[in-house]
Amino acid sequence: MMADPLVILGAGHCGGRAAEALRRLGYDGRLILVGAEPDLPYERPPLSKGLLTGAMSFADCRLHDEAYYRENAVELLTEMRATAVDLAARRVELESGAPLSFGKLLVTTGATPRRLSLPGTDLPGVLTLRDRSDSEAIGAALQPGARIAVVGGGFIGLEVAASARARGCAVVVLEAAPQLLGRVLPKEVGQAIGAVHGESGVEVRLNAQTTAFLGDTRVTAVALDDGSEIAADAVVIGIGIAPETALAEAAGLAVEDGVMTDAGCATAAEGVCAAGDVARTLNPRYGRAIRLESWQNAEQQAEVAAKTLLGETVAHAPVPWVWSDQYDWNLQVAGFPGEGDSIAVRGSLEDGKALFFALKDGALIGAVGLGHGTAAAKDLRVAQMMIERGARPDAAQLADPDVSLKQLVKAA
Amino acid sequence: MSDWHRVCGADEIDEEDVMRFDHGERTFAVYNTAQGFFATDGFCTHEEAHLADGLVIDDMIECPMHQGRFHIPSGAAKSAPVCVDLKTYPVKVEDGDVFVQISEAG
Repeated sequence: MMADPLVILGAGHCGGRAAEALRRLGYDGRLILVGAEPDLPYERPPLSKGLLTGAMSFADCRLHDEAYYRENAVELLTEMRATAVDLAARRVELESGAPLSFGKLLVTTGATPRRLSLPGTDLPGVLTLRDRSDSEAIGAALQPGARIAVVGGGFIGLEVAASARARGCAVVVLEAAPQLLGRVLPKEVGQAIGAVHGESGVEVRLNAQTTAFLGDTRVTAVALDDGSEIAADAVVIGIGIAPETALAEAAGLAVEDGVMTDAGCATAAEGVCAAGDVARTLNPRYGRAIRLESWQNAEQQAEVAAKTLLGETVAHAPVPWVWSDQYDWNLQVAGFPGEGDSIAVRGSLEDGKALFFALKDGALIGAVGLGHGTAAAKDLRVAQMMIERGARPDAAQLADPDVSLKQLVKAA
Repeated sequence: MSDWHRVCGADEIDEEDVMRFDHGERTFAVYNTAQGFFATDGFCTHEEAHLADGLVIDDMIECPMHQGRFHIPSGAAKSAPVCVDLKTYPVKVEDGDVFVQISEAG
C-alpha cells in the first residue's frame, strides 16, 4: 500500500525549494505542492526591483520551468486555495475538488502585506506588493512623470521608490517614524540610505503620519496629520507583512505572529513542519523563536524542513542575512544591527562603500554594508563570519579601513 | 586559438583572495588560494554579480549577491542558488607574474 503523500501547502519560493530539496534528498513518495497563486513557484526579490524597472522578466523569477515539476514527479496544483487543515484526519480541504490526504505536511503559506485601516484605503490606485499581479499593477502605474507616493520607508517601500525613479516618476516617501528602515536598522544606516534617495531625487518625509487616502473614483492624494496633502497618481503601501497563519491556527497549531516551530522547522504536531515567512522558528544561537522574512530564510528553511520531514535531526542556527538593491547601491544586513549599543562605521558613501558594525556588550551582533554595486559585500560577509564566531573585535579596528577584516576574523 | 595574458604580479592578489581581470569584452576572476592560482569566468552564473567582489573561503568563491558557492579549481556550483558551473581557465605563474590562458573563440 502506498503511503499517504507529502503535501506542501504554499507554492511560493520556500514551498518550491522544499519540493526540490525533498526530491534531491531522495524522497520518492507522492509529493503534492498546492498554491493559491496561478504561477509556478518563483522568487520574490525582483518584484520590487527588476520586474518594475523592466530589467528582468517574470520568467527570470521562476525557480524552475514546468517540465521540472513533471520530470521530478512534483504534483503542482496552482490557483488552488486551501480552506482548512484537519490534523486528526490528516487532510487538507480545498476550495474546489476533493480533499488531499497527507502523511506529512509542510506549511509554507507565506505572508500578506499589512494594510492601513484608514479612509480611502480601498480606493483604486492604493497598492501593496507581495505577488506577481501586485508587481504588475505597480509597474503599470510607474509611467514617466507619474506622481508616486510610497507609504513606509522600509525595504519594500524604498525599493519601489528607487524603481519608480528609474522609470522617471516623481516620488515621495512618507515614513511615520523619525528614520528610514527604523524597524530593523540603526539610524546611521537610515540616514545613509536617505541621502542616497535624496540625491536620486526622491522626497523623503520623516515623521509623516498618513491619515487618509483621498479621491473619488481613484486615489489622487495622501492626507497627512499635519494637514498637508501629497498629490499622487498612485500610492504604494509598504509597511510590512503579516504571516498567513489562519489555516494553521484553525487547525490547532501554536501561532504567535507565525507558526511556532523548533530549530528543525517542526511544529508540535507529528509530521507537520512550517517554513519561510510564515514560520517563527527557534534559533538556538539566539535562544529565542524568530520569524524572518527573507530570501535566505526561504532557501535555508526549505532545506531544513525537507530534512526534518525525511527523519533527520536538524538544529538550524543561522545568522540572518538580507539584501536590498536600490539604484546602483546594494545594501546587505547580517545579524541584528538594530539591537546594538554602539556603532562603528568604516568608509562612507563618498568612498563607494560604508560598513556599519553594531556591538553589544563588546560582541559584534550585527553589520550593514552599503556599497556601489557589490563593493561592500565581501566586507559584510566577513562581518557575518565574525558574528557567527561570536567575535569581540575592537571598535577602532573595525572603523579603520586599513585593518583587514579578514585578519580580524583570523585573530578572533 | 589560445593566448596567455598577464593578469598581475603574483603578490598583488592576497592569499585567499580574488581579483577581477578584464580582457576585451570579457571579464574574469583570478584567485590566489592555498592550492595555487586559478581563473574562472568573472560573472556568477545565477545573476550578474562580479565574483571578484565575493569572498574566497579556502577553495570556494562565494557570490557577493546571493552567497551561492563555487569550487574554484573546478568551477563546480556547490550551493544554492547557483546550479550552473563556472567556466575555468588555465593559469600559470612565471617570473612572479600571473597569466591566464584565454581562447579567443570564446
